[in-house]
Amino acid sequence: MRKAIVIILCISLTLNLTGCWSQRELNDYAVVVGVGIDKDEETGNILLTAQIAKPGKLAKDSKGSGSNEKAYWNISDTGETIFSTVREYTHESSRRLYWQHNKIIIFCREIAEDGVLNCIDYFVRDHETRTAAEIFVSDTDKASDILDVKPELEKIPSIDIDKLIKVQQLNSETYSINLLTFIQRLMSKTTASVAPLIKITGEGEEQKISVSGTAVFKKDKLVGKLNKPETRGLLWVDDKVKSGIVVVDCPGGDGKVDLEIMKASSTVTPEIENGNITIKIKIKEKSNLGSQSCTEDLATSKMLEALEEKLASAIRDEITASVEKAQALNADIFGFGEAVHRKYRNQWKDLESKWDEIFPSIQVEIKVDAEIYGTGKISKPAYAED
Amino acid sequence: MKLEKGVISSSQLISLIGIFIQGSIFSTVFVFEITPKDAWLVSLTSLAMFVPFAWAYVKLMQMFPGKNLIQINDIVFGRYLGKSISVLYILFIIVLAATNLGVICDSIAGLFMVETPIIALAIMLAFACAWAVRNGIETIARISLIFLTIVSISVLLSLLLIASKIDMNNLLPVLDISLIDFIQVNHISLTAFFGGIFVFMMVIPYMDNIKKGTKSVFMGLIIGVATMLACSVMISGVLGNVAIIANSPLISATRQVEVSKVLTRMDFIVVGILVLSVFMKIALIYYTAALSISQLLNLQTYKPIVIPVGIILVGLVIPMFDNPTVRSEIGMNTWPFFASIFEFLLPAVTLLVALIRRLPQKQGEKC
Repeated sequence: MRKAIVIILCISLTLNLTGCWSQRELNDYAVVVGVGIDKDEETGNILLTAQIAKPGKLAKDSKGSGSNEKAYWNISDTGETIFSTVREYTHESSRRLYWQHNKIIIFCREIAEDGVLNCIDYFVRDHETRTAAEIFVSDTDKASDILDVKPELEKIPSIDIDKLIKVQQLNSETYSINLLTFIQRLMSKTTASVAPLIKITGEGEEQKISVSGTAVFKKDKLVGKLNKPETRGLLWVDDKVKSGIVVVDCPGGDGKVDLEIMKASSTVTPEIENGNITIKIKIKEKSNLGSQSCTEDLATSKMLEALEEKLASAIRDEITASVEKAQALNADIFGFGEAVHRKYRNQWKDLESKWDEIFPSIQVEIKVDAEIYGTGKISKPAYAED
Repeated sequence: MKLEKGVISSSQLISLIGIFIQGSIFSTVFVFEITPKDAWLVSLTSLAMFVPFAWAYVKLMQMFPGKNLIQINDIVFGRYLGKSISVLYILFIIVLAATNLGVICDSIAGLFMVETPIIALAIMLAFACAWAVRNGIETIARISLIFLTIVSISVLLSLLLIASKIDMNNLLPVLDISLIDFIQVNHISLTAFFGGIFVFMMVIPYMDNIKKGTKSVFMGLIIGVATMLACSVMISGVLGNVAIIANSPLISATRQVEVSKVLTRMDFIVVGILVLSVFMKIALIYYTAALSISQLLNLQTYKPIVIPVGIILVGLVIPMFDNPTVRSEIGMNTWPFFASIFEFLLPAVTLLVALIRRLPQKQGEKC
């Protein structure tokens, strides 16, 4: 009797091992890889476009060439809120949307200007979404159009855009930001949020996606834009410059020199003296001579020194431009407020509430320590001296 | 007559206490809600505050060697008062076990198995714990060493994988918190993470060498707090102010692991930590509950009590709190005061009364 009970118990327990409580097969899922949020012009509601990967179309056929069909499906729907719109898709999609692999979130300008807070909560709260998704703001185009530009190198636009933003660090002119960092900035009382701008260039068949410049948020509302040099200024201060090219004039005059950034680091130190806040930014930068278009021999210590000076002033200009822009927008994109908070926590209580009045008039001292190290495979330019 | 025939060594007590503290890592959400920056500091300050109480527990055990908490209550407070205090203790221990069971089931159900009813998870975990408890303290002690190693290595591994995403600026400025909040957060930390150690007053009597008890308890505490410290630094560093809103900061933090596009989505490591350490914590509290009840009723063995206690635990998980939000409100506002009575006040009073009454009396005298 006891044995029989044990055997029955064992058999019934093995049924649990399959873990089939709410099991779903892979082919029941519609894997969302990107999402664009627009404003519906007629109703003012949210127009949500989800890009769904079609794994079957990604595989190469037997002849070895990929099929020409689209490997993605963009599904759009409108609704008052994000989650209700997501469930709205069940009217059109036979598979349930699966959000774990979502790579990008694009906000169109209208939504960003109204405030992204009501759109972003779902992506942070839902158990299926990940905070690693990259955030974009589309300035001129609709997010749904951006998701529909067929990329040349990848099969799925979202994956292409995701790789595009990752490769931007070679140039350091775009501030890539994922959902986690974005909400960290949203939750800060003083630091303003930023996001890269995305747009379509070209017409018809020639359409391409281009990522450049930065959108600046105040609280959760879009207030302005940074151009490429200003964005790099922000990256310098934020210690996010990985690589990139700085173009300076040849010390001798005509011609340009390209300097490749190899290493950069920054420290931001606030100082309070007699109630005046000064932010001291110190940049340490190391670069290589990448190319030159003048005929002088730059590979001499004297010339390199002259170049270093020019390089330092070029970097200083970029930072100054971005600081001035941020102060004009009154958006603390650099996190100066947090830096003051870290160092002067007693005074911070008074400063925090009036940070909006303090920030535009803050003094910023920039010190750049630029160094040019290598000159590439050659030293003098390939040019016959007179 | 001894209820528990097993004997544990002093090194096993270290690993038991270590894993018991590690089982609290998931409750750190309360601390992060109040102070996302100073959570690491709180684990140290509250440990320092806990030291005298830990010393009191062990001292009590050493004063009455071989006697457990229920027996000591009888000796110190007399038959009737002692028994009533023991009943209160038992009720508290059962509530403690059910709360822990509820926390883990809610975490798993909230983050991974959204459609699974909580009761299904609770039954499975309670069943595994019941099995461990029926095997006795020796078995629990032996697996605790294995689990302690696994959990410690997992924490180190996740710390290593996420090191590049830790921003130490998120931890500054130190002590950016009002005094009242700091006291409150320490109180929560004391009662929710450390105070549970009082259940070891049912375990320490079964040590082979009770003189080493003090050292073992403190070693175990240090191991547990070191793990907690590593997790706190990781959470604060990675999440920053988002730690305030995260329902499971540790899982949210480890979800950020991204090593060259290959090693991503490492939250399974954390779920491993979660299940192993909380399993051990619940098993220990559960064991204590079963043992105390049988001691109170003067049973020959505690084994027939195990399944009924398990059923009570599973039955309590659902009705105890309406939803996780209510639980976290109670956990922050009510629990610290409620738990302090049993975790700190009663043991201290017991020790005091024992000292005043000059207990234990010499052999031959009536007690």
